[in-house]
Amino acid sequence: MRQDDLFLTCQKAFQERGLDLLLGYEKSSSGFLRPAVFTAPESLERISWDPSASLNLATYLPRFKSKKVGILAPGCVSRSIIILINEGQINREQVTIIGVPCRGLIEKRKLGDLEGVRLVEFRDESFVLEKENQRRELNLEDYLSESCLSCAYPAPVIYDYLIQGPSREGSKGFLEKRIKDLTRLSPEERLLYFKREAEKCIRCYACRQACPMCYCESCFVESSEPRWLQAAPEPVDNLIWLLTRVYHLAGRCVQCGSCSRACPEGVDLMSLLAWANQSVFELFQYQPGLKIGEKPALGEYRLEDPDFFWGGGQTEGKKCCS
Amino acid sequence: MLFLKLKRENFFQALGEFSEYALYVPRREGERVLLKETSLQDLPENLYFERTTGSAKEILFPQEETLFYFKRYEPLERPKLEDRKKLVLGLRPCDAHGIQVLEDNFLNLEPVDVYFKRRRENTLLVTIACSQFEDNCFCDSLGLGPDRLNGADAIIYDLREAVGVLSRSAILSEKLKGYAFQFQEVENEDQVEKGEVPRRDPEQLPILSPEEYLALISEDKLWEKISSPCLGCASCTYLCPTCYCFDLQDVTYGPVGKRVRTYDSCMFGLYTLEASGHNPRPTLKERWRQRFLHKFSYIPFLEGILGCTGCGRCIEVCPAGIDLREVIKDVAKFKR
Amino acid sequence: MWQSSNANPYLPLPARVERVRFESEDRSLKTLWISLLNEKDRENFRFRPGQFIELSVPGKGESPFGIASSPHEELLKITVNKTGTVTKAIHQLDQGDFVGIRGPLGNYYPIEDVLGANLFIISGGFAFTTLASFTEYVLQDWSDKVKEIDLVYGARTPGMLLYKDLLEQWRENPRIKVHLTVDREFPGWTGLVGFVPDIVARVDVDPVNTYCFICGPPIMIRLTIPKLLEKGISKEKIYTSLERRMKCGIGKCGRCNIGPKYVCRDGPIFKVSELEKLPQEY
Repeated sequence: MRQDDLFLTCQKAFQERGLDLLLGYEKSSSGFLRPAVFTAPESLERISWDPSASLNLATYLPRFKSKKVGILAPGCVSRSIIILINEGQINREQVTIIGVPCRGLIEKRKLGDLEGVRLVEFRDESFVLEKENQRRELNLEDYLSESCLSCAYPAPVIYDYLIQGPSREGSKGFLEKRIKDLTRLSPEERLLYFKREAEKCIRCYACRQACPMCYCESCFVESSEPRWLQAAPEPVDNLIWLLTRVYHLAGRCVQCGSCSRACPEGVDLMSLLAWANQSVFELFQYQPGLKIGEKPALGEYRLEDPDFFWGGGQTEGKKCCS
Repeated sequence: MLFLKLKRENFFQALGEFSEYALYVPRREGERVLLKETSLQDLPENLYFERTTGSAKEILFPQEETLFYFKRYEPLERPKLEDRKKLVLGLRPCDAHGIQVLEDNFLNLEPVDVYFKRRRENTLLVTIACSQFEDNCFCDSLGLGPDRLNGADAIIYDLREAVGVLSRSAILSEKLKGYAFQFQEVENEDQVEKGEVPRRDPEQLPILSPEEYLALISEDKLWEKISSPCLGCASCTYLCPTCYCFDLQDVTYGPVGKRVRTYDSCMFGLYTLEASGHNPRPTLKERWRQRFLHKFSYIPFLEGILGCTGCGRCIEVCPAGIDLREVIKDVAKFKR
Repeated sequence: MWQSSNANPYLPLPARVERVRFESEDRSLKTLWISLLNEKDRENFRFRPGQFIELSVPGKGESPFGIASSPHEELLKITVNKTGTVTKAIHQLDQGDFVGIRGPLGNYYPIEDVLGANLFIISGGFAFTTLASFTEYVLQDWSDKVKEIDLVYGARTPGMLLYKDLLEQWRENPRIKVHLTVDREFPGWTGLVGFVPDIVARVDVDPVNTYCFICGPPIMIRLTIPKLLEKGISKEKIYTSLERRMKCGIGKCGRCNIGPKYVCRDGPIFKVSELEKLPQEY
């Protein structure tokens, strides 16, 4: 992908579509990308896109309900946008999608100590870091986010403008290796694993804020009547927070990994989400965010939905619990 | 203050004098570095500790603290205050600066917070001067430094074969004196030998006076621009050494219960939401203004010290990549 | 401001509900009279009008309420509007029920600073609590040290006016001119009709030597202050009592601040001239 392609296309979109603002990324002082809101075409000279982006930009869309918004979108972001449209949070007409190719996003945590480190450039299969005038070249594949390694739709599935460039090969999409490892554990071991992860949680809700699908104006954790969870990060309450969020996202999560990269404590958020999504896929042959006009799987009833309780629907070859 | 020099072996022997104190040091656990209880034998010889992921305020001001218990229909039970003695070794000067801000809030402004006071009285905080800078840290850009005592009880300097200890705790000084080969009273911490403290050419950030910052409260465009990428999570506030905002909540288990104090964040929408539905800080613009001015204007007003330690944790953690150093520069550009 | 026999400022003093009464016909406003259980606490609890207490219902939580009784009364009087978890629980309390009190908190209406002047007391709805305490206090103790006293008090309907027994007493009292108003015409209502800011504009006061005390919903305060300024009253002479979501009530939890001032500790009573320099967050 060429930077000048990106700049020119965004400028074109700004003018042709009469945008109020454009959601994209810009380089921070260390060379890594960070989200930026561009309100004027002149400011677009800062716009950039490469595998050091981290946040799913679609999470900003519900804020701009009444405006015309442009947005850079690789595969996961474009799917998030479709889900937001299907769930009535934004209109298709107000959003201009500038599709960008995606080779995956790096997991900053895997890079270790970043003090004084500057990201110099991305090459075809690698990227270059510099510290104290010494340069290191690292293999891109080794440092990608887990969600990206098993991503099923790296290229944008919907767009108004498309920037040319190579994307990753799509994979199956459900963190296959991680789920296999967890299925090998006994139920007790699995519970212990997730309890330990829940102990790390500090209830900052960065995961919720970084997720485009968590747009509820009043999240269930903020409910005081009834009060489902206490504010203090007790391990049990943390576990309920994580599990309930998984249920609220089952069949709606595109596994972009934005939540996992946002978590300051490194809690494993993706495993259960992938598991829930896989279950929805097996039971309803449904993957979210692929078609405009679709209803979410858990928000619609069809006669052929498998019913393990009364019998009925298509239960052939499907399991109730895995 | 007393400045002592001890040979390394003698320093470790001296630590044996603190057997009634539980020893806490930063230890890595997977992705995070936490303050964990440890034994004297497990201490690293070079006295190098990683910086904790969250700030060290947890040791005096934990994320969850029970204030008191109650049973239905009966008068309230006085709580048992934390009596355990702790020696925390391996803090950084930025943590110690944060402790100073917390002390000013909880101890120096009436009424005194008895929970914090008891913990502070029972805890000895020993900082180790930084031997390297951390990702995004910028204490020296604020006029602070990686070798300052700040709010700690003592700071340790690496003098190669020896360690230098600058102590303002009577207990520490007394116990260490017996193991030191040299000690003297000092008035000013800049008079002491600090060994090799890392220096770089930091960009000096433009810090305005509290009044100058307050004059910018109606600059809507400024706060709009700064807060536009903000997601409104609490990552920055929960990891910040100087953030002390808390919430009080009653938790019941049938007929008994307790009142708990937990961290809260000014970035949350509910923070200032009133029962009538009116919210004086309805959008992130007002909340960011509050966060920034609290650190750079209100705390300096009330306490005379900067409410930011320059530790850089907020920059590291922010999912939206907001860089406080750039915010400081952006705000200063609007100075009248 | 914090005086208590308790060294621990978070621990409520045990207290008991002695009497309850509903103020409005829709039962959304309930007045409670509360006594402290320990003699020592009773002796030490000295407050001035304008201050508030944090009332605890153990198990549900705590909320701040302005003290409506005058300092001479034996029992503490507060009025509670039913809106959330804690206030719902308070509404279920009855005589003999156990509660907790922390206080007195905040600053108070500075009667000593306004001696020899006229007083203009303005309030609306159920925010009248602390000003009711202040009015009683002035009439009882400072009647000969101030000049004219005018009270403007309005509510949505006549039923929503608080302390109707006190209002009756004051109407008979020659020391004070009482102007009661409701938002709209109501059958059986013979008093004034109109919003508080409009009624305030119509009351004649000496602009040079009058001090104003306002407490009400934010919108009422915002619309009333300009009317007072139009009369020529200086911003230095207008006191207002602010409300904020509060938790600790002692200036520690960082929540209720407006700029460097904490509403629970440096307030809730501020002069309008002080508020101008602070962020407009109220």
